[in-house]
Amino acid sequence: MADIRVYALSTCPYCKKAKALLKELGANFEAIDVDLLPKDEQNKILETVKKLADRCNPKVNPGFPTIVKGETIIVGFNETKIKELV
Amino acid sequence: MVPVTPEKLFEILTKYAHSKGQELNNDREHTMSIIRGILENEKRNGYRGCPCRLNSGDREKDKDIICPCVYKDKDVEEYGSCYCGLYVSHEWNQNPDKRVTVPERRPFDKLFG
Repeated sequence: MADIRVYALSTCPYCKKAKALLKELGANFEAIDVDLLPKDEQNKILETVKKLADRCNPKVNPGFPTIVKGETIIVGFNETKIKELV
Repeated sequence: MVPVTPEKLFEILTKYAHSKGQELNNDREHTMSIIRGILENEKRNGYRGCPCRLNSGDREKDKDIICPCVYKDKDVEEYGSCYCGLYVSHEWNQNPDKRVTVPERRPFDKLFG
């Protein structure tokens, strides 16, 4: 099982950058392109992404990419934070 | 109707950005990736929805995120860049070290309409 999960959009450049960076860093991750899922699955994942964003301190609006490793959550592309996470 | 090419849309959006006192991100690869995302959303849904946000497929519901989104000017003013990093200020283009992750300004409830 992957250590890191990335909730992404297939159309989003920052999501692509996040996935490319994780790959470059050799991270064990799985990525889900939410926009390519059926509507009912999209809604379930949106609820998950919302809960994850609510757990951020300070709380943030949900967005993509959302990157999760254990208790650590990163919302949006942030190179420094992704490197720290890996 | 012949679909617009990414290169043509780049030209059109460059002129539009300048008319608003803004610029397109000078990272051409990033900018073209956004433009291709916009055109992919247009192909899927019939409107040019923001590629960095989940599009619903309902134009009315997504009218606030049809590019340029209604949040663009506030984000460029506050952070120097729109949420996607397509429209930016001149200062943002000139100062890579001052860039920050732009937080999502769109209310989450809009996603469920």
